[in-house]
Amino acid sequence: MVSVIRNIRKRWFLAALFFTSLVYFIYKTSNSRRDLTRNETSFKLVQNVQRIEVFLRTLKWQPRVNVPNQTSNNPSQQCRNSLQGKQLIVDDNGYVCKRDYLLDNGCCDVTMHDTGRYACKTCQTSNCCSVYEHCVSCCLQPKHKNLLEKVVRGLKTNTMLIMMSSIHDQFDLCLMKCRTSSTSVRHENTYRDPSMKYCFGVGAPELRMF
Amino acid sequence: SREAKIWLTVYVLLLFCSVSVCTGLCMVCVLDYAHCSVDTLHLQHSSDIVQNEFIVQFDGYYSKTDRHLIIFAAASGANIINSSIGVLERTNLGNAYPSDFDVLQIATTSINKVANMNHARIKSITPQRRFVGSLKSFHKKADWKSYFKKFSGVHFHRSRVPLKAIGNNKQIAEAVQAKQMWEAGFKGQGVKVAIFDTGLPAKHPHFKNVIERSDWTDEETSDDGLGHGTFVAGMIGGSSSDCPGLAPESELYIFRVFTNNQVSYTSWFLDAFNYAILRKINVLNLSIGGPDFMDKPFVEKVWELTANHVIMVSAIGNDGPLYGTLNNPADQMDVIGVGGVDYSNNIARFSSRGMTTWELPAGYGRIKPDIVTYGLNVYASDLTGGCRALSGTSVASPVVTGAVALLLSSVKKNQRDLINPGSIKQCLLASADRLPSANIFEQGVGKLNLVEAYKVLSSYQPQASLVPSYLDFTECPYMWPYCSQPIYYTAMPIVANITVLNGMGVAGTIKGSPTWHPYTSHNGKYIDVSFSYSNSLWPWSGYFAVSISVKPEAEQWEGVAQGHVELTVVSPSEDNYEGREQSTVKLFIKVKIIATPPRAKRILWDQFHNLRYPAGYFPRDDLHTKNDPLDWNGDHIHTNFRGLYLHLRDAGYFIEVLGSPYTCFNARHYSTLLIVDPEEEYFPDEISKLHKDLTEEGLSVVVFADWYNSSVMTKVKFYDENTRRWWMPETGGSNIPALNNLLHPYGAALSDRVSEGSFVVSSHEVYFASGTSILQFPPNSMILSKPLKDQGKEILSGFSSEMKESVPILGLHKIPGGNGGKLVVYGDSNCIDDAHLTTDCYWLMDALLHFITQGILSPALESDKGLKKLKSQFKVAGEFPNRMEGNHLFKYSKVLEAHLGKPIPRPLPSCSSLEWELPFFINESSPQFMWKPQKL
Repeated sequence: MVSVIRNIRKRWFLAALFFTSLVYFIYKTSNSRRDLTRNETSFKLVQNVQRIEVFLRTLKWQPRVNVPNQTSNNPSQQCRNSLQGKQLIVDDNGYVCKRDYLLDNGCCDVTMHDTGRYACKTCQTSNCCSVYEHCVSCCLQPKHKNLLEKVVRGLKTNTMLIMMSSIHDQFDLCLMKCRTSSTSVRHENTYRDPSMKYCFGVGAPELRMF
Repeated sequence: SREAKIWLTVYVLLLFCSVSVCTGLCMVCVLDYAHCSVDTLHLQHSSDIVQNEFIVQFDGYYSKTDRHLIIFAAASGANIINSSIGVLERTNLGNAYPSDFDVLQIATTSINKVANMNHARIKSITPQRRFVGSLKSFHKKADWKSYFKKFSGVHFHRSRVPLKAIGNNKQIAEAVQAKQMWEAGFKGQGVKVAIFDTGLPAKHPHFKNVIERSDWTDEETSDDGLGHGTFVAGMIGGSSSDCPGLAPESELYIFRVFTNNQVSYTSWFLDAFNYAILRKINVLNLSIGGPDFMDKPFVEKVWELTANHVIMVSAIGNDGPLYGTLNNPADQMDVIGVGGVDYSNNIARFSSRGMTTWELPAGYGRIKPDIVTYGLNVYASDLTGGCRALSGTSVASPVVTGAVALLLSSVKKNQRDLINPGSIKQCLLASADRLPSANIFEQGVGKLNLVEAYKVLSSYQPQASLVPSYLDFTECPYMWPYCSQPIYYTAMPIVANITVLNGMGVAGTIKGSPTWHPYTSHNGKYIDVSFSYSNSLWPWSGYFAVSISVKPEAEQWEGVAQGHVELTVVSPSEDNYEGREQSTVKLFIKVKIIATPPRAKRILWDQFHNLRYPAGYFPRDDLHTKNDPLDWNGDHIHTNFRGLYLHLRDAGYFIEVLGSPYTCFNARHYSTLLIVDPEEEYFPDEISKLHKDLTEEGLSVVVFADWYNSSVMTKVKFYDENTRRWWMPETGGSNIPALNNLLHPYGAALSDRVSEGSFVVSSHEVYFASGTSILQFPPNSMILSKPLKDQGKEILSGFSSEMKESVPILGLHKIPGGNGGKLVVYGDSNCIDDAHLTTDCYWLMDALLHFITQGILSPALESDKGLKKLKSQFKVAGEFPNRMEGNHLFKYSKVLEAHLGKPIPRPLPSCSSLEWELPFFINESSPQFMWKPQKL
């Protein structure tokens, strides 16, 4: 028994104890995986940036090639539209109209006087709007190409990478960008700005204090 | 040895460091604990036939000798000799009374002759079954974690969680007749099914058709670490031969939105939902839910999904058998909310049930769940490639999702545009099978019937429909609670909240004004109806509420009145420019009317002053329950006070609900106003009106209060990881400072001592769980005091003590004067609240109501040693509790509004007066079987 205690006091024993603890400590605290994957991650980042640039180059921008007549409907064309609205709908040429004035081909009836193209009616200079359809229509303005490129580059990479493969033109992009998302909320269960929650610009809606 | 000392110091330091690192890591587990801590108890039943025994059911109640005579007569008629049969002797107390059944024991040789036994008085002979019930409890996570939790201060309140699947094998595909669909060639092919859950392993042998897996959490993996997501995905698209899914050829899109610790955020869901819209998902399964239906970003996102033609199927929740436990998003009109049944078609105990509490206090909740299907011991894929059994509504939901996938794959290409979240919900609901013993707030329209749904869908024409499709208040138990209390003149109008489903288009409106057609030959003239409905039906749905009231002519009349409502829904046509589609539906109404009951039998329930989560933090009434910190069941007589309601109805009382301020009822109609667990403030006008009612109109008031203590309130604040902010209670269990304002004119007041303990009154055991006590009470009162612990002190100090003090908890007072009513105040509401009920005290409620109506105190209370009759004012030393500084009650209050400095009362709202519809009498009668669903 005494010899055991004596051994414990010996320098070599304490040194051994220390080193085992040290090894254990390093193993536990330092995230060695992070070091290993750092190179890999930075490589991935470069690759992802390239992918986003390719995506932006291949994206089809407004106006579409077959420019629709401004004053009469073209029965031969087909439109995609925003589908969801309670009262309004926006088609892929940027026209906003009442649900009642949606033609059989999915396009807005451009002959109705309250149908408007690239309408920013409820949008603010912050590029946030109170009506979803106005957000999409406004976002479709050809002049917003640069802004949208900036938006795409600034988005959370992961989300953008997943979504990219399903977005083919400015209409798809605007439909998506105008939706409320993780950037629209604070404290998770409230909107940052309940009245202007649909945004196509860079950054989140302004915080409203109550 | 000095050197050794240095080494030792270094070593100890290092050890300390590594321990603190470990604590940091352990916090993660702690969070996990908070989420998993919901212990679940469930009963498992199995039954088998007892070979030689049969139950003989008679057409009425007969004495023992008569029953034997009938049985032996029937047996001899079937050529069974007397010696080979016997009647089981029952040894219970009921033996002395007439009965309507007997158990027949018969020799094995004569069993086949039983079928021939006939007698005019025998209703049926059925094989005897033996029921075996076993209690399964689910283990709590180890206790050391809760120990850590205490110190962490980090906490998830009950938020959205993957609804627990609780873990006999039966192939679910077979049970719901999916195989018949497969044989017809419909296996879910071409249908995009999204599963929002805990992920799926990359290479799992059961899955051949996973199109993609995406991760929306912060863990950067799509793999399932829990098995919940794998199980759900397996039920829908698994192709194992042991436990096949319902739609094995459907295209699976896996969305991982929960971490391995079951953590999730609204913002993750928002981004993932957006992607589901982008991918044009057809049907989306959400075996998840939470109580926060006021999470606007989430709720509106779900609307957006259905508006984009994504059919949403969601689990109703596992918080049954308590009522008022519906989970969001399954409680939304545009979502198909699924409850669970066992393989014997009984509603599973855990299945959450109605009503929705969005509409309280002024309105009445909608019917939910929509539909039920198997959710107990369902067999499907486990993590490793085998099969396992699980239970829960999160298991029932994928049954419906799988069924929808099969239905969609059965639709021909040219009929595809008939498919939408509205029409599919209509088809499922119109084809479901009604279960005989459950009510509408437990089973919705009934049990899923896949083959019938297929038939309905194959001949579907776009139209509108109603859920429920009729109102027959004479039909029990299905139409509970409507069938549990007849209506009468001067009663508060009964409200039925109907959901309108519109399969014609995502947006629609109710055209013109709906019309009321009382039936001349069926006493339709005795009722008045009034409507309120959604301005626009979007997405695919809206509400249509009918208020029903009895006319003065029927004050002394008794009978059944009938009529119907007709309404037309219009939608902008989806495929015909400027055309509008429209659809007219009828709502049959049948109500039982009685003569107005005497005042002594009529009780008014104050709903207006109850506040609940969401959105504010209204803490639980029993401070001992840790896992559910919120008061979220609605505090309504048809939700968590259902037990009390049933008891009072049995005792012959009629209970009506007041959803507006006290200024809006006529005190002369009621004997008692019941104020239970109120959290709301009072308008000054309410206080004076009630005072007048009590002193001049003979109204009595019974208050069941609850705990309040601002130090304890500060103590039960917590940091909520879901909303990433601190949660501070807006009041205590109830709002005592507000109640003291109400009680002030009578010289009564309540304290902020939080008391707890058990005691006995006569033969009744009472558990007083976190309640308040009386601080002051007027002269000539009776006060009941009981020795109770100071729970507030315990919570604040962290040490439990056995010290008990005598605490006044019940006060009874007769207001002086000929027309003075009675004032009764009790300190705790838990013994009448189903939410935390251990031992009920309905007997106390009986005694209090007896005191009010008869003026006599029951012997149980009268003889109790703790009861004192006092001539002078009763006063306990102590201060009046104050409202907590800086609290935000005004944000959730209907009474207070924000104001510089202190919040002030709003102007008193005017009492709603319903406008009765003009009757268009017709000479018709409602169909004999109203419950036959509308032909779609």
